[in-house]
Parts: sequence; C-alpha cells; structure tokens
Amino acid sequence: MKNKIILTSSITLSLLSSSLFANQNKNITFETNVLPVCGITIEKSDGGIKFNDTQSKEAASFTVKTNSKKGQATVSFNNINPTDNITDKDGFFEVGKNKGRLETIDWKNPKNFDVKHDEKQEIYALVPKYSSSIISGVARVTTTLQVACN
Amino acid sequence: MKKIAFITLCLFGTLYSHSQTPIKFGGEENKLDSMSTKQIKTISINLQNLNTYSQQYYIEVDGQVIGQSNMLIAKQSIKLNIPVKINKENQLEVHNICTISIPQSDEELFKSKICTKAYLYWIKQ
Repeated sequence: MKNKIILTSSITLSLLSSSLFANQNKNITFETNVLPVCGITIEKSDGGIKFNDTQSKEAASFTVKTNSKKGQATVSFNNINPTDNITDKDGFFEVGKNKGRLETIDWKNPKNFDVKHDEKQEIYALVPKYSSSIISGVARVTTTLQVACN
Repeated sequence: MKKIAFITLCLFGTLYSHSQTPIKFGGEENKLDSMSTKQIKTISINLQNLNTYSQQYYIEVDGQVIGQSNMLIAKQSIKLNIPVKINKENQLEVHNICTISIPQSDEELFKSKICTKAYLYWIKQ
C-alpha cells in the first residue's frame, strides 16, 4: 500500500514538473530573408567575327547567376553596334551552351532567350559576307547583355 | 588583297560582371514598399562587383543615365540610394533602375546590364 502511494506521488510530481517545464519552454527561430540575386559574369569578352570565307569562329562566353525558383534568367542583346564597314547591320550572333543547340540572334531584330543558372554560354559573331567585300579596317560589333531574373 | 583587321578584342583580360538586388521592388508581394507620400521615392539597390578587379557602373533610371557608382574594388558590394520620380499621383507606375558596367576601353565587346523593376504608388490626398 505504502509503495503504491509513493509510486503515485512520484508520477504526479513528474507530470507536474514536466508540465511546468513545458510552460516555460520558448521557441527560438532563426530567420533570414534571402533576397533574389541577379548577376552575370563574362568569362571571355573577346571573339572574332566569322565571314563566309573564314574557317574558324572564335567564341566569347558568359554565365548567368540567379537564385530564382525557376533557376533561369532572360538575356537580351541591346545596343548592337557594328562598325560602319559592316553595312546594313547585316550580321547575327549564335548563342548557346558548349556543344549545345545555338540560338540565332539577328542584329536587326534581336530576340530574348532564356539561360539556366551557372550554365556557361558561348557567343559567336557572324557576318554572312565574304571578307573581300568588307572595307578594310577594323570590323567590330559591340553590345550590351541585359539580364532579367524572374 | 584587302587585309581585314578582324577584331580580336584583346581587352587586356578585362571581363565584366556584376550582380544587383532586389530585382523587383514593391508590387503585389510588398505593397507597403510601393507606397510613397512624396513624389520622389528613394530606392535602395545593392550592387556587387563580381570581377577580380575594380569596376565602375552607370546608374540608369527609366532609360536615362543619372550618374555613376564609385569605383568598386573586386567583390565589393555597395548600397545605392536611387531617387526615382513618380509621374502621377494615385496611380501605380513601373520604373526601371539599371546598372551598366562602364567599359574601360572603346573596343570592348560587351557591357553587362541588370535592372530592378520598381512598382511605385504616390499617395496624394
């Protein structure tokens, strides 16, 4: 009988103390708002323009950095400025990942294209003319790569 | 035979890269940020130079260059407070705040550009 009372008392005390402890328990929360980041790195900003009679083409390259849910960003080519000896803005870029499908970006009517996070893209500049038809001097094209992370 | 000087833009190893945040300011998810009691709303932008060398950036608001950042050393991040003019009261407007890498030579092939879309609402009684 005595043992039973002791056992009951200790269970009651134990329940009471755990209940008291629970009441004093506070949650700790760690929270940080992770801001969406949109970035671009241009690994290689130099390339050669390929004409009809040039064999090889030399690529420039860039990589987009984004922490968006979709994991991709939209890249647009703005202010495409070829030198005067490339008449009528007659040229285009080819863009895509190494050994992947290349998108054609017409200098007169450039379209946007989607790029995955951290996937290196290569860009080629092409002018569909023979180099002999181009006035001698520097033939160059410059552009602004605009990145939009959604 | 005509000698074509192909552009092999030897840019002295200069590569351009940067990041910007936020990419969206205000809007549906954060209506309070959108609201302004004044016609000029200051928007804070974080700009980071991802290069391993110093780089400076143009600051453009709605297609107009309004200034330049300081020269940012490699990996440096700064907070820019950009004043944006809201055109009409009691009407939601979208403004674009962009940073553009400043070429260090005329012969640079690329500039990088990143924008923040700011949804602004000028409350006027």
